[in-house]
Amino acid sequence: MTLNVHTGGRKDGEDVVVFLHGAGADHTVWRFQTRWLAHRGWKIRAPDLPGHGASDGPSPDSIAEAAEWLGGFLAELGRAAVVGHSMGALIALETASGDPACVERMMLVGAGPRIPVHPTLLAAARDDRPLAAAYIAGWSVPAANRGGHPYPGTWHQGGISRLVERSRPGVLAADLTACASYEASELEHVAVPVWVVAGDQDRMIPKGGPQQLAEAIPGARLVTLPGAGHEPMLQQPREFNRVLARFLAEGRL
Amino acid sequence: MVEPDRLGFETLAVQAGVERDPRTGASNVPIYLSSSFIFEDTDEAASLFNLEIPGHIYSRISNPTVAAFEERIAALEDGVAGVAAASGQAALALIATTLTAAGSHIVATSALYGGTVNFLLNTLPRFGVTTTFVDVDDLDALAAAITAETRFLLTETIGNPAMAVADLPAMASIAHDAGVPLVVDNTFATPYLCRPAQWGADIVFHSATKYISGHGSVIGGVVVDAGTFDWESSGRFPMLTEPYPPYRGVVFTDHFGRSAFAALARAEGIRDFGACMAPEVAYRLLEGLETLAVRMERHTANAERIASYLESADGVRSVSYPGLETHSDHDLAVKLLPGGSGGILAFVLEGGREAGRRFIESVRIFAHLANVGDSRSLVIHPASTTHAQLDSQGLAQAGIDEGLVRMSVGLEDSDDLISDLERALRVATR
Repeated sequence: MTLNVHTGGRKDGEDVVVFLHGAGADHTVWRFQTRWLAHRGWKIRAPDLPGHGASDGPSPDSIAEAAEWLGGFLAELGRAAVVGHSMGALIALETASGDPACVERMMLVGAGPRIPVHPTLLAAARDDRPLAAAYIAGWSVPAANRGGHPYPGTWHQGGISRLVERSRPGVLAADLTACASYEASELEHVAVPVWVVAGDQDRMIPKGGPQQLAEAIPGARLVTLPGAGHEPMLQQPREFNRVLARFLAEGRL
Repeated sequence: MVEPDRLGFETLAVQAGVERDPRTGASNVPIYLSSSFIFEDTDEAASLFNLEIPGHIYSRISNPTVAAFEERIAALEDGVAGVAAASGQAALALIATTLTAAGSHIVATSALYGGTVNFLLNTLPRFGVTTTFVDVDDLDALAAAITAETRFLLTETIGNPAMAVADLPAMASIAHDAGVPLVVDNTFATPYLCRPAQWGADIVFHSATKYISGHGSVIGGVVVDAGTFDWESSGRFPMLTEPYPPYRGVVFTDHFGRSAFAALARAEGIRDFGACMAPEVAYRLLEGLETLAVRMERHTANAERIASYLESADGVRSVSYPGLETHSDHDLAVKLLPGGSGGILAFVLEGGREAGRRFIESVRIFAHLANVGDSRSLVIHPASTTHAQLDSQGLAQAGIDEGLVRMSVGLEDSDDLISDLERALRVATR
């Protein structure tokens, strides 16, 4: 079984940062973080989850199954800072609840304690992937999105559509079902430092979800990026990276 | 049913790519006349040069005004990213230089803009890149022409100047089965009438000089990456799928994902060959896009009326306009161009070359010049101008009669245009 793990272009870093993508996506959602950190001395591991991107094998059926996979992945790396987006955040959360030894700290991006999925989206994910991709691309950005992307010439909404359209048959539906049926529990026992990062225009998750998550986890810190939607790391990479740098620096003190 | 949340074409045409300026409140994008952009510190500079973070370095590579235009056209073409170039020819050259190397091969349909044909037929071979031309209607020949060295299949949505409509879905299927991308020149249709990416095209380009500008004022081009092509599976594009030494071994597909082609086109082609767009030009093109929808409706309405008139006019042997039921590609036009076939048509006069000359010299409202997609109505005689590089055999291959007149119907009063044509036809057929 092939597992594709992106390193950001350098493999000689020391402290490990693991990046986990969301439903129907792959490691390229972290394109403005992985290379930047890898060339600043961090050891980057951004896997395509099984069944996603260039990794083969069956995709996990539940957040618990994905967390079990992540536990094995992290065990080979020693301790790591884990940055998860959306479904990736739920996987990180579930992993840290069970086996915090391998998670040094966590950043949860675009997530709440629950990520319910609109039934129309779930149906489209099963029957019509391009339509599902269009829903996700539309709800990922602020309402009446007109763009203005910092990477010259980039139409973000198109990029999200193409990424999700490309997911393998069945994978998006499985991912969304896993998200919809997960409910984070025992958040008060999460024992690692947690930063929750949210875009205040995120319409993929229920309003207030990131706040609930931050309030339920002891000591968790909430950072809200004004104007960002569901993928702040792609939509506002410079602002996001400033937060990420502070989050990682805190772990090195 | 819940509709996906996406702004409509006309809204994107007016607003996409431009955010309200937080400092000044300016609603329109300023013309950023700045050759270079100040770095915060050496670390930021290094990150920008190493493709780690987004931002502007130098206006040859990117500029905020140009970026707004690139993003807007990418949104309108249903793509993932746009890269502007100095002209339509520069856009084509950018695609060719990004995807080919000495020894590469291109398959192109034969009914193409004369400048494109010349570039493929006479100029690129000097750099070791050859092209096989195939009749646009012969899909079997198109498939058969693809070799192990082929790097892309090239066509025009509406072929210049014989008005052949390309069967984009069939061509996309042929290209993808062979592991090569379909590249489409969408200049004549514009994204208002056809979005080739929705029919399987992987890369779309424009001479923005034409309908995107719309006013015959500036020269510009643009390439849109649809984000659809599977570069890794193809195995024909190591510059995209293997470590790229000038940027410390970055693998464009691995790093940029769906916008890998656009990223390489900018980081290599625009950087090295330097055929960038000026910010003043981008501003004009942004303004042009704002009225694209209403202009294309009027261009199309005027052209439909004139095509019908010419079809029954004395002295006209034939009219080529896909919107006419008599056009051989009319069914394809109905499918791919449901909003109409645009403002460009061609017709052949009885009396060949001499009648064509008399006609062109007799029009008073139509201007005789080498352009299309202007607000003004234009006529030209391809055999002596746009396709002058082609000999009789080449003209025949491109479907150009020596008496062919190409017409770009403008936004004027169609009664005036038809009166002008009546007068010129009387002189031409006297």
